[in-house]
Amino acid sequence: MKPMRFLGLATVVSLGLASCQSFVEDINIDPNNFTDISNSLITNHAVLNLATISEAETARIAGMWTDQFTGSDRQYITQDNYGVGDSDFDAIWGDIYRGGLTQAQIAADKARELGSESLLGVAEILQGHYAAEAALLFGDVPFTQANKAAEFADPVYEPQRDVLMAAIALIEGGIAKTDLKVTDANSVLSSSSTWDQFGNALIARYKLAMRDYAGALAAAQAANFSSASNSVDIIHSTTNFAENSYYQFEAEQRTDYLTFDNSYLINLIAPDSTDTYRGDDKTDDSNRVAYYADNSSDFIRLNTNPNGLFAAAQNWPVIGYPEVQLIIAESAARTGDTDTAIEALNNARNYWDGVMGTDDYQDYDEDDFGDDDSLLKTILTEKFVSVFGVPTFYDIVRTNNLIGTDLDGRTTPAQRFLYPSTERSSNANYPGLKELDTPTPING
Amino acid sequence: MKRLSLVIAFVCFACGLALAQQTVTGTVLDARGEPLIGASLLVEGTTSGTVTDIDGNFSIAVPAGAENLVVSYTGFTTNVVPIQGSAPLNIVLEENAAQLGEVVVTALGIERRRDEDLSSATLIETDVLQRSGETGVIQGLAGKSSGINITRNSGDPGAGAYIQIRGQNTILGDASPLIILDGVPISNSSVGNSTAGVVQQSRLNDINPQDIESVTVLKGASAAAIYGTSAANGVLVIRTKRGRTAGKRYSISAGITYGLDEVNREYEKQGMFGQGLPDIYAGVPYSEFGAWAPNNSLSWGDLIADRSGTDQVNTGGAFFTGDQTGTVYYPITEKGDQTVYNESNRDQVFRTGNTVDMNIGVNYRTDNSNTFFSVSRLDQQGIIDGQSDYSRTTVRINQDFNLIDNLNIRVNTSYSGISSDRVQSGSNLNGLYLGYLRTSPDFDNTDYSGVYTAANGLERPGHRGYRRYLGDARPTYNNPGWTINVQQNPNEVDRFLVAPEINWNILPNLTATVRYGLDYYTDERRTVFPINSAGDYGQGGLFRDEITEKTQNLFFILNGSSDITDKFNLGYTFGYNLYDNEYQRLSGSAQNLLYNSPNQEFILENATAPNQDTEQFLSRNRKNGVFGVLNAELFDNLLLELSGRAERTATIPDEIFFFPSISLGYKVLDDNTKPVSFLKLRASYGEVGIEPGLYQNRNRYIASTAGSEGWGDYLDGANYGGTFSRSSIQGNPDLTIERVNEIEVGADFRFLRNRLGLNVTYYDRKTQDGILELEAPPSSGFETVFANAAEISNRGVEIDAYYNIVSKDDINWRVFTNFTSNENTVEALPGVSRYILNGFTSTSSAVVEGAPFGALYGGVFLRDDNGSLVLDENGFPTNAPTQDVIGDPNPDWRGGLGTEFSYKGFSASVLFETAQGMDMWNGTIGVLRYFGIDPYTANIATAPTDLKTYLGSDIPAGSQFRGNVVDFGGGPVAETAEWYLDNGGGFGSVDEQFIEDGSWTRLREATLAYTLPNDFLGNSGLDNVTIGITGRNLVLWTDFTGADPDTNLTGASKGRGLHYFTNPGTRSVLFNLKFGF
Repeated sequence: MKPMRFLGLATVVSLGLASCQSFVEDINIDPNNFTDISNSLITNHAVLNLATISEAETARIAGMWTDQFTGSDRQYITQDNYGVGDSDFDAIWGDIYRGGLTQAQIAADKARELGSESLLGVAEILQGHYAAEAALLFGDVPFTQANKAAEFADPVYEPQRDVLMAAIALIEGGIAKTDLKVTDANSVLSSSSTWDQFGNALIARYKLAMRDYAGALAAAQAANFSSASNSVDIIHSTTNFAENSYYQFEAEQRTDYLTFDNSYLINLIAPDSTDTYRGDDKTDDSNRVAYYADNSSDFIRLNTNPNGLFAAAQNWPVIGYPEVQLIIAESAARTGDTDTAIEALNNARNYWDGVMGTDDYQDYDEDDFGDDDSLLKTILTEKFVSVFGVPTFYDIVRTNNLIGTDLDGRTTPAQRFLYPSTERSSNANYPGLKELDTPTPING
Repeated sequence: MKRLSLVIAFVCFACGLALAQQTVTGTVLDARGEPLIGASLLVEGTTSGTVTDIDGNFSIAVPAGAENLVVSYTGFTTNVVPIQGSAPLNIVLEENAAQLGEVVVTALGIERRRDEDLSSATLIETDVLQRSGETGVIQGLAGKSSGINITRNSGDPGAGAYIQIRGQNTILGDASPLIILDGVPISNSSVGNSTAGVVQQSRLNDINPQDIESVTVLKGASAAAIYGTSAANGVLVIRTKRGRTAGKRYSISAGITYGLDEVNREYEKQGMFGQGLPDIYAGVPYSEFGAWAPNNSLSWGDLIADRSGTDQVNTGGAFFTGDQTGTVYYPITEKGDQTVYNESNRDQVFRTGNTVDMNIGVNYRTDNSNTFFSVSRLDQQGIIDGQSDYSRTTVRINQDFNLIDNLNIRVNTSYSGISSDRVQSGSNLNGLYLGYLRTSPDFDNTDYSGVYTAANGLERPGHRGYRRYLGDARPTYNNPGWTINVQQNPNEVDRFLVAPEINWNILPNLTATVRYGLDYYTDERRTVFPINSAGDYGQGGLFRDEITEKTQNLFFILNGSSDITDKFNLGYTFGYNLYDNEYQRLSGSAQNLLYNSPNQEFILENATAPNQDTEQFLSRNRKNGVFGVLNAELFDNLLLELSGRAERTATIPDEIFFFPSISLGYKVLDDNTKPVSFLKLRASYGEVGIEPGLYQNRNRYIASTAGSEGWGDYLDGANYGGTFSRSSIQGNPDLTIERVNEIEVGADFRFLRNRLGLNVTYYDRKTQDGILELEAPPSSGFETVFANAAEISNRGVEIDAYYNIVSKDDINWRVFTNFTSNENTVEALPGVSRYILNGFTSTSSAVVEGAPFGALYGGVFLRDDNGSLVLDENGFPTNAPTQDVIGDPNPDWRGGLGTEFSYKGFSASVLFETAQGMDMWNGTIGVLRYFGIDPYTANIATAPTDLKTYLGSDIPAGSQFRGNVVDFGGGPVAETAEWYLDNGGGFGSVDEQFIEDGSWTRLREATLAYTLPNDFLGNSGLDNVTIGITGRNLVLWTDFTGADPDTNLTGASKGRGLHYFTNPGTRSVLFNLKFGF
């Protein structure tokens, strides 16, 4: 009796232990996701992710704070009134670092694995872009320790100026490595430019923000955006989730959250608006305002109709022809080259006639401007009504609101985006909350 | 026992034969009239006796002078019957619960007397479970045992519920207890609980509650340790009914229930002010309050009473013709109508729901087998007056047969077929409550669909709602009529449970068991958003999900016992278990539909290729382990149990984990005659675990999007030739298991000859190495990383007690109560401010170090060092830049108090349940403030002094305005629309304002039943007939505004305590009829 009992027991135990491991081995392999990926797919992502800065939440907040837009509903009323907390910037920061910089770095690693200099160049231009935008929006930010989780679980924050210089150097290095067209290596962008031109245009934006006007002028001219088709645009169509982000936000997801209602921008270009209207003998914005805005309901809405600026299929610039022309215009004006400034300003104005098929903007000449300030203000105003989102936010902060936009109760512009709560809660090197009033070092 | 009786009887019979002078015959029956086989009869004062045969008959020789027969049967009261004449005796024995004693069922499915059990387990019997008439097993458990927390998802038909035993233990592991049905683990998944969508079911509710014999709740780690990594949340051991082994060859019991349900708590809506913009945004003075604005989301418009009386309309242009009433709607040029539609808009949405539940159970036995067979059908129409229903058909066959004397085969099989129509809920432009509650009081929702005729005469189908009153384009929010009648969310579940087992009695005290269990279901969900639905679905959308889960278990168990000496009994169980789970979810969708079919056929090809999508999620998990239990009983009063499981899991295949437990009990007293009749002290220590989730070991590259996913606008890489990015979660190949260890001490008392019983347990449980997605700085390249970092503790007290006030032949009165107090703390969460379990980024249920698990987390007012509000120049508070803990959704304590009374055929019961000291986020009320729907905002205040508004306007003393006068600490200010549309409302950055006390007390159930007397039934062939009425959730006491806090936005997920346009709860009355023959 006893032997049998123990025999049974021993059988069960040994059976169990012996078959144990083979029964459970090789199961924990993810059937739903890849554990590695190609350079082309991740580069394509790093390019698509440009939209997070140029046309999604980042651009909307920047636009509300400069009063290009108005937050008219729900949380956007509060955000427009600067009632933000640091968690409101979690997604924005995540899009730049995790969604952008990190993936561009992985793309660079993959390009090195492939031994492709030109793809590496593309990846470096993208990295430089993400790093520079992070520094301009947030001030001191992680860079050299970023995306090295194994070595630096808590990346340190480096001085804003250093990050910007490093980012520009990275873009310059990228330009030297690649002769690809902007439409190469991705299926996201539309442009007649090369990555070289695109890189120079970005450098121009960053040098302008750093008040390096000579450098900005040189880079913008090197970008050689000679026609509207040089604009580097993200392609949009009416396919679901390929529509313009403004369209998706305003027409589909969050109707009336983001409008032009009583915004400074709309008052500048609406002929019937009041004394804010900027029109003059050579400037008629009546077509422009109809192109931008839809005034058929309670609010002055973004014109998301098929023929509007914010239509579903409207391609949207990462960096556009008007921005590059107006960087040239401002930098030239500030470095004393009035002729170049006025020519570039006229190019930027004529761009809209080209887009709308109108003849609303006559060329300015030197006589139209009483002094340099007047020219500068005209250039910056044109940029304010032409370039949406972060570039204009940088301008308003840098110039301390030279054009006099409505700051919704503030006397000085909000200087920065808040460091996100995700960094506060997890990065040992988090530098502490910096308030909206605290200038970033380049503007300090 | 039986065998011993036989021997005694035989001996007695043989002895008695010689002296026989008279033979007495008769039958021994139970109270239901069923024969008792093997009942002992003894002539009082002699050794002469016999036992009954298979039909309960006996024949006994009685010596002269003998007066009485002593009739006894295990589990029944012993009767002393006088011997009178020669007529056959009809002897009826009553069941004696006290003698049999309470039992519980162990984790391995072995029944054990509670007096010998060393855990805090409680057993809920079938009649108690079913008394509430709940259609779902889980809901039926509420209030009936300590240590278990049941929260409904909502009152929707078939809605699932959340079960939590003791407190939450794990952040990423499964939250549900392990469910063991007839010895086999089965799935209780509830897939897809989120802030939007439809209310999900719980798979445990697929089982017909009528099939259940008992549910034992194993709360402690020691009782569950033999299930190792599966048992960290406790175990529910469910036994289904089996065929009788004795008595009538067949019997049938059947029942029918008809129930009526209605919504039990609703939000109030103001009826004073119309749709439109408030003064400041409408450009009218404060004294005019606001101005009517069609299609506007807000109800901050004009005073309805000030209107002219009739709408002025333009009949010369476009118009809309409603399908429901045929009314033609023209553009309104001047709003004059004073009608308030709150009542009719409410009646459009709600109805009295009804439930019909029919079931029949058949018992059949032969000499070598017994069978339980049941069929049931449940049809429920929900309280939402549209496509909201649930029907469930179940079939069960539980078969036992003896192949040979010592070889028994048992097969349990069941099928459940469920079909249900659900209604969109929650934070969802297509959801019911969102569209209904936000509707302005002066807007009539009756016509929700119809034909829009444009000014040029062209017609097109339209959807009319308060955000688009002419139906010329889709409204921003659905008309609720559209949500419940036009949108479709059908769901079909087919579930099979098959569990064969073989028991071989190798020796009288040694049994080997081989048991296999298969649990397989498919859950098919469809959603149709017809063209013109709100939000993303203006061009329509079709979605189909097909979920399949297959769980297989195989057990080899050796179970024996041996009496080593008189004073030392040893019981042992050894076993081996294989577990295999396969899950897949396949999804297909079509959006931007090409053809607006009037029948809304579900054709996934009805979209261009870029608008069609497919997705899949697959997982497979396996574990195996050996386990053993040793029970020792020394000197009849010292009890010792050791158990353990050694386990390997698929996620960590190269390591064996061991989960031990030890329990010790001492019966201090066990004497029915004493005032303190019974006292047992017990203590135990146990360990259980949770293995890491599948696929957390490596970095993943996922198909990506770019944009503001949180707002809903993003670019899908699939539209751009495909984009992939490295996931934001860093994989970790070094993860180990989460280990839960628990110390439990308790005492079980019975007083006054067992009339009063009391069980008290204290436990202290700790989870170490809790796995979570540890926040990482996004600048490091990841946003989270899987890590063993959390430490969670749960400490608590559980008390169950009863008192049999009266316990006589035909009158019984008993009260019972249970009490649970659990203190849950997230002890350590290194380097993480909070981990969101569920909810919104603005308000969530989160894990925060030092706070209770699932703490409500959201925006707070800015305060200075003294805790006073920091006010702006107008005297209003501002929001702090960072969020904080704003509430605790876990109750301080829960309790149940009930009573049962029976007198002859009448019986009645009442059960109160309470949950006290928890917070709930009333996101709904916050948003209704924003919209100007909450009656609190519909106040006409008079400024007592000169007041400032939020944006700094002046309201002079004595003037009237819409809003409230409030003092935040800097003197009175005017809370107007400016405030409610900003930080004073639900879309502002201060969520702490909308945390409410979510405590409740309710009359969970009240029943009244009458069993017709046997002589009334006569020769009808019926054995018994009972009619009854049950009230469920009839009375609710709570301070929570507008809704029953016993609901949860995110359903049976770990995120607790959130309310945001969640579909409402119900109260019910049920009529039932039961009969048997």
